[in-house]
Parts: sequence; structure tokens; C-alpha cells
Amino acid sequence: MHEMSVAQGIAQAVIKTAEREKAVKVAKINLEIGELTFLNPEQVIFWLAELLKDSVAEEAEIEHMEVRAKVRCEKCSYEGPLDVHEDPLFHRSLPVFTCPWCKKGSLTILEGRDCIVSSIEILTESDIPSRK
Amino acid sequence: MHKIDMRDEESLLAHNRELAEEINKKLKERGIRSIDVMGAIGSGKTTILEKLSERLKGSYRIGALAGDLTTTIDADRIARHGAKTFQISTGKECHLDAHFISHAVDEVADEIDLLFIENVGNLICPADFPLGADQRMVVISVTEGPYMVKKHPYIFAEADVAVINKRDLAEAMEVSVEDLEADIKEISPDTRVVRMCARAGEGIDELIKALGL
Repeated sequence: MHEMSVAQGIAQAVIKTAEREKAVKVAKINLEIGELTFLNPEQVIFWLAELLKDSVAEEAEIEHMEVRAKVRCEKCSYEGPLDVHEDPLFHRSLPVFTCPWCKKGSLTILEGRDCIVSSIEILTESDIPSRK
Repeated sequence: MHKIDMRDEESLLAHNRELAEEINKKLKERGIRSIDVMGAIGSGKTTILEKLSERLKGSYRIGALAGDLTTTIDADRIARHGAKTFQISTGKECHLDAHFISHAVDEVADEIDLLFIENVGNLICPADFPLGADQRMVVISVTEGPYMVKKHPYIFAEADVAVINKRDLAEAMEVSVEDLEADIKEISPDTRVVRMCARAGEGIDELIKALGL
């Protein structure tokens, strides 16, 4: 359960960027969560929304996209995604950590172990119609 | 509306990996070999470190960082075998991260040449947070049942060495040590598997060999 610490990092980055860009409001936060992280997206989003209360991003819509794993096999040089294991024993499909081609080699993870903010969508003073 | 690209901003997990690399470099410069010991709650991590410290104290000057939520039980146990120990209280955090280690490492790094880092008992979160150790070792025991490997594949994929502990209880638990080993080999063919009964000291020599110590 380290969703909260990850969400704290995200909240800080969002607020810092919003301040730098002189945002009056953050409308949307786009997240990318890697398939190989131990992060539950729903928990990350829950904590992030909590941590952004009373900030410029308080009302932001938070959207996430899962980034598929990409691995390289050190034996047969396969590069690509992992096979997915559908086992009724588990409630969700899990990527199988075995080379999809040769089934033998050790795998190096190339993608899918990060959780990042890909972008934020903001409003600045110029976007708000003058009230006069 | 303006869309601001934030891909170049550093993520927490990436920042941890960079910090881990710095720690590893620093330890290497000081001539210290380092091993991150991960594993399930109650699988025998501390007992294994006690036995390793006892056996290796003639050949290495040993230091140990023990991660736990609040108590110093683990650090005290390892200290009795001559290792220089420091307790990292993680509070509510379920794993150690490189930031904890970067602060704690100076507490033990003087006059040692082998460092064990005992992670918080957990087979999930530590896999996301490398600590900068040369090797990662994971400990499970047969008392946790037959599915520990299948349920937690990534931590085994991360591990250089995997220990299956309490093998003497396998029959009583109706758990097959062979099946657990096969599960590990399927996920990570290069991980060296050691079967142990740490309390009785069985398998310590094999573990020392597997760690290249």
C-alpha cells in the first residue's frame, strides 16, 4: 500500500507545474500507470483527489491510462509485451513473467514500471472572460 | 484551456531508482557489498541474517539495516551476532525506499565491508522500490502455503537469490518445496534457489555460496 506516497509525489508535481504556468484552475490530470507497478489506480486516484483538496487542482478530473509492460529477453532477444495469464484462481488477469517466445530467458523490464503525470489541462487568467 | 506536457517531470518511482543507483555507487566506492533481504512476514528473514552474521563474522565486517514499522526487535537480534546494526522505523510505510537508505547508510557504513538491508515483511511493495543493493534476495517459507510464488511473481523476477525456508515443516503443511522451486524457476530461470531450515542452520552454506560470499 504505497498509493498514498505515490499520490503525494503526483500532487506536488501537479501543483508546482500549475503555479509555474500561472493556472487559475487545473481542469484535468492525465496519469499513466504501468502494468508492472504495484499500484491500484483507484486508490491512487482516491488519494490524489484527497491531497488536492483546497488547491488549484481541487476540481480536476483525474483520468488514467494503463501502460502495458514491455520486456526484453536476455536469451532470445524478444522485445515486446508479456503474455497474460487468465487463471480463475485470480480475480484479474496477470501478466506472466516468462519470455513469450522461448519461455526460458531472464527478462529485463523496459516499460511498465512507472506512474507518471503525462499532462495537465489548465485554465489561466486569459481563459476567463472578463466580468466587466 | 492549455495542455501542459509533464512527461519530463520526474516520477516518484523513477526518482527512487536514481537514488538507488547513487547509493549503490557510494557503497561500491567504500568497498561495501550490499544485499537487500526481502520476504514475507514471519518467513525467517531475521533468523537467516542472524545465522549469516554468525557464520560470516570471521570473514567480513558486517553491518545491517533493519526496516520495521516501529520496534527494534530485528535490529537487536542481529546485533547479538556481532553485526553493526541500525533500525529504520518506517512508521506506517510498508516497504523501505532508497530515501530511507540514503539517510541510514551512514549510520553503519564506517568500518564494514558487507551490508544487509532487511526490508519490511511484504512481498508486494518492496518490488517497486529498489534500494541500491548489489543483490536482492527474497525469503518465503512453506508455512505461508503453496501459492506464495504464483501470487507475487514480480518480487521473484527481481530476486537474484530466493530462499524457501522451513523446509522441515513441508510435510506437516502439505506444501511441496519442489513445486515452489519450479514456480520460481518458471518466473525467473536465473534466480538461484536455496532450500533452508534456518533455525537449525541447514542450508546456510548453500546460501553463502548462492550469494557469492
